[in-house]
Amino acid sequence: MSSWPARMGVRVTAWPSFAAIAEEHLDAVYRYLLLMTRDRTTAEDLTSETFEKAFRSWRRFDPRRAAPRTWLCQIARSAALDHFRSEERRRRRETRYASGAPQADERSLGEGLSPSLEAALAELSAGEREVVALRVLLEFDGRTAARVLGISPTACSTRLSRALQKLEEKVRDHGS
Amino acid sequence: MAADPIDERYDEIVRELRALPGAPAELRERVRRLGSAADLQRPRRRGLTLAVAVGLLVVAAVAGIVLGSGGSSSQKTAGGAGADKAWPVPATSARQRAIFAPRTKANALSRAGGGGSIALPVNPARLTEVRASMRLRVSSLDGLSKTTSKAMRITRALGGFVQSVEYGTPSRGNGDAYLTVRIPVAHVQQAVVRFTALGTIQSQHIAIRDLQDQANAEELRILRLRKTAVQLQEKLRGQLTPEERVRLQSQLDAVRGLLRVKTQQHRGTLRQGRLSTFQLELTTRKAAAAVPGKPGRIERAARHAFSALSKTIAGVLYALIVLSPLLVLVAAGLWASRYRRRRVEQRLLARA
Repeated sequence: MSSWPARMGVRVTAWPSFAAIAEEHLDAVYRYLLLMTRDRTTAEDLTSETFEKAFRSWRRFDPRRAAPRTWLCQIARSAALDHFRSEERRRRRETRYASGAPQADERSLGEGLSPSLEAALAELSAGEREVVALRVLLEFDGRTAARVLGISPTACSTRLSRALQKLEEKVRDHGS
Repeated sequence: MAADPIDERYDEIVRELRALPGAPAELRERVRRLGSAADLQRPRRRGLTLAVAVGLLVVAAVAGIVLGSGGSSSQKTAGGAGADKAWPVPATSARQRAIFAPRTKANALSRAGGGGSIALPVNPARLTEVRASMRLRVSSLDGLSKTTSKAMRITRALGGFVQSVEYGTPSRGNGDAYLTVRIPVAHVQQAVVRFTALGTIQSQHIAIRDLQDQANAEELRILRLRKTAVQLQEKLRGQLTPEERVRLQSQLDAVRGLLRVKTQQHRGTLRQGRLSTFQLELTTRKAAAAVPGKPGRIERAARHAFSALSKTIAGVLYALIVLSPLLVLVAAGLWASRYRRRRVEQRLLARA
């Protein structure tokens, strides 16, 4: 038996289940965070945190306002920003007591990437890697990516083009 | 979400990036567990909102109809079609006013005289100013002449007099007659009934004002002035210095002057309260436009709703005007905080 709005001719949106959305977009969220953080463990933790946050705000999610992937990426971005903030605080604290000795960057994206690309990605800022992740990895269009980043589509396009150019140059440098 | 194409120059990088591994099995399992725990029904808040909105609309419509039909009892008493003022309260009120729009020869006022269902609120025991104007249509030019004569006869029969008359019948077309007659207030009711029977009423307006309180106040003032004048005269008869005599004499002259003015004013008030003024316009012309009939229940509800809506819009506009500087400040503050947050994020991501 259909609900009364349906009987009255009101179109009722079918709500997707959280499990289905989580299953469908898990890889995208993970890869987005992996490229942003360049660390598998951190990306796993942040992905887990993202889905926990999404689960808590699931009742407020409206698929008519944003696609599930965009919504999840916004949550993931917020989690990543929190992570970077706490990392920066930690680094500052440690620098103060460790007489300013530079620490080695042991982060790794894992299998699948050539060493030159991985080294090139390490030289990009998180902001540059983020736009690459959204537009290249997750294949968002310019407008959606700009929405997640909170900037205009033109700024997003410029940022992507600069990031890719820089990435290519760095790959070439490391390859030669 | 169709992706915008990426420049072909970066094909190799793109291909390699897209080959990045997905989430590990352990993470997948963790999220799957979370997903199955979240196997809950989506809340039906939209349906609830819709139901509440429909319910409110229904309540508003019913309230509008009920209020619209219930709020016009005084208009019913007036009886005139399209009456925009109700019959006033009884003659003891300081100011009374009645306005009637036309309908037919058998108008409410005519019926009032004949059937006695509606009576003009004129209390013969009190001074009352009555001013009436009527526009009556007569069938023909011949009828116009007869009706004008009849109106003058009625005036005289009721103890009044014709103050002015203007009669005009062009060789072709329509004719008009304008009469201003004064009729004792005691016969106002009869005058209204008999004048309205002269033709088809096109418009009429009656204003009634109680003058009794005004007349009483004037009378009291005159008595006080007389008393003062007598006292001054008595003082002047006594032993006085020349200066005092001059001063008292000038006071007495002023009081006498004021007494004359007040007495004249009082006479005018009494005359006004004894004789009513009727302005009759007799014409052979048809009314310019049909006057709308008494509005129905739905129309009244619609008017009521429109009025409420207008007031609401006016209130909202007022609030907007008053609050606009504050809103601008709030918007600017929000924009600034958002801008600052973006800058902080960008710096953070650039360093990370």
